[in-house]
Amino acid sequence: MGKFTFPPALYAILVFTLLIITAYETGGLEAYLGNRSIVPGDTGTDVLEMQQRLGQFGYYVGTPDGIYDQKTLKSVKRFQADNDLKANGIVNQATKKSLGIFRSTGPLSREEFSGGASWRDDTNLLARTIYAEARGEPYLGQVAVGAVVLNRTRHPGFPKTITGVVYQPWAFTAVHDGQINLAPSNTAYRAAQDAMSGWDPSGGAVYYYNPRTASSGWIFSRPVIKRIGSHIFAR
Amino acid sequence: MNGKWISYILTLFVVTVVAGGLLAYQQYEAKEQYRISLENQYQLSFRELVDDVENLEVQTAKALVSNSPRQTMINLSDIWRNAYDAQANLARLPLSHDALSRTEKFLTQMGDFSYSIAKTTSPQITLTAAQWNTMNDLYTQARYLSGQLHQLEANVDKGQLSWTEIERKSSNKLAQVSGNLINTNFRVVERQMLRYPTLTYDGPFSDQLHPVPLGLTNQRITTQQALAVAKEYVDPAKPKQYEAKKIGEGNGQIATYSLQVQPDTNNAYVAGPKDKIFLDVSKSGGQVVWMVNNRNVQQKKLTFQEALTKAQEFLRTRGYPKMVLTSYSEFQRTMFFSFAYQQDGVTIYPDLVKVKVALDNGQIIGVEAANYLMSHHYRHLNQPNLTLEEARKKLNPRLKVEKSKLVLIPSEGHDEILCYEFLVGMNTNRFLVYINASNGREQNILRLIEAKNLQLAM
Repeated sequence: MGKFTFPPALYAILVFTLLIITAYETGGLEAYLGNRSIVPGDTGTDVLEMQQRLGQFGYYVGTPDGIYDQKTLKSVKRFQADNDLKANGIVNQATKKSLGIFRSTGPLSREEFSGGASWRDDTNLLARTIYAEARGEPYLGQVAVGAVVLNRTRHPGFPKTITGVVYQPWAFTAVHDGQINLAPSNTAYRAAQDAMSGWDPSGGAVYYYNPRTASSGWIFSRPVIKRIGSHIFAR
Repeated sequence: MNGKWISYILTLFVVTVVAGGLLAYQQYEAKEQYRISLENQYQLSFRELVDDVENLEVQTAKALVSNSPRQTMINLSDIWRNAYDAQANLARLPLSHDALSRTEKFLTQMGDFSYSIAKTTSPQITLTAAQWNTMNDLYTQARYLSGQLHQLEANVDKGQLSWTEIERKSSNKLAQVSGNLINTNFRVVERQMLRYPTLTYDGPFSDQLHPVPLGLTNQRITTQQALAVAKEYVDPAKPKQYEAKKIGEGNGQIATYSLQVQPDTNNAYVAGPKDKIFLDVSKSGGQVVWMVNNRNVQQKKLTFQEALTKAQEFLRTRGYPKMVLTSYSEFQRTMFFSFAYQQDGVTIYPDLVKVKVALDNGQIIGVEAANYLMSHHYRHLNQPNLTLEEARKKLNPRLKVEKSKLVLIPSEGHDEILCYEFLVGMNTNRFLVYINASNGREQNILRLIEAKNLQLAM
């Protein structure tokens, strides 16, 4: 027997502890995920994060295991198709962005938007809200969520500005849990633009809820206007 | 050897525990710091709310006492400012919507009411009897609210209540913010506020009677008829090449059938894209309320003028023959056009239809006619009291007039006002100035936002 051997398990624990501390200090897991494009066959924490995100959005139904297998590939392709991305299973920066794996990079470019600054800012925030609240919904449902925000600004019982409505405490789950900071997809921008231009598939609603997950009994007492996707719109 | 092993493990254990403890403490400290910052933010909003409402009470009392037009005007604008501030601050507090919507509404309407009087009353007169009575009712409510808030503030100061406490209790169950003292307090206020009568006046947030669509006939249509309307609307030349189905119904201001139209995929002779087109068709009168085709628009090929022609042609063939272009903007290879109805040469701004043109092939991929269908009807337009020349003299003499025309504009409330619209330039900006055609008052000013393929009035 050698007189001084450090068991490998000890190394492992030490390294692990250090890693966790570093991860905390640098502000979370983000620093930890590589910048690679994820392709089928890949394994790792980035794959795990991707599976978790897909799960949150209702695309992945298995247990996230960090392995990019056939089942994951199917969900990725479906997600890409729904979000105007090339449905090739390659999770590049654009797809990652849509999955919200990275924080938003900022407002739209100048070519996409010109003219009144407040109009642009409002459309931007509305697109974020739509993306955070309803990206899994059909397009009409996304426009309708945007319309609800705008209808609230014209209703006496709510704040008068889009910012006020969106950031009112408890008003939107996705603001409360931080999803509002995800970078919106092109579809969400388009829906925001439609809502800002006057399209209102909700029929003048100021509330909407998912009847399966709504927790407040009060919301069910509001007169229903219609249902789009999984949301019920009410006044 | 065994003893050494144990000491290794013990050392490692101690190191881990100490490191873990330090980390936990650090986390705790950071969390506490965040909690305090948040609590302070809430305190700021709450105390500003208390101040705002107290000022509101005082200013309303002054408005009731005053007999000077000048003083009344100042009071009215102070009430307006404080009521809106109060409402904004109230909306920043972590309270569930059903605990404060009536209170928020009261504050909105109080500001809106004051602003509407200030805007319409001539600066030579004080409040009318009716306005004074309404103001007196509002005063009672403001006094009640102010009293309740002061009581709550006293409780907060005693250290019994913390705003972040509400947050913690409800963080798992959104909107189930019950059993908490602050919320209970607000609910009591809310219940009392509900007992006060509703408020009608000429302003955008007034309690109006439920508006009925003026642009629809009473004739009810069946689902089958609605499907036919939708196909005809999408493609009048060959409606048989489409299939339509009902996907729902709507119970908004306009009762509708929600339909989906798609090129008939079973028909081998139908060429072109198989995009889904969504439409809402009104149950009364069978009009298309809006249409959405969310297809991807490819490379841009049409010019502005070509797109405009497509939009105008579409409107002409869909039962909107007399429309004039009012604004436009380009977004993601799509042109948004807004058109207003024209009657006897007068542009009727409340009757708006919006059309989206795809700039790859000129297809109409969206229509919005809800506004039009709500407000469109035949209007008996009065002859203007002022001539164009007389109206022009009311303008600020520094302005350079480029164009002018007669228009009907919606007022703050639900009236419509006949005006002369002047397109004017000052410095590098252009504006639309509206002069009331019956009394010569400057009714409104809009600034034009202009760029390539963009013109919006704000």
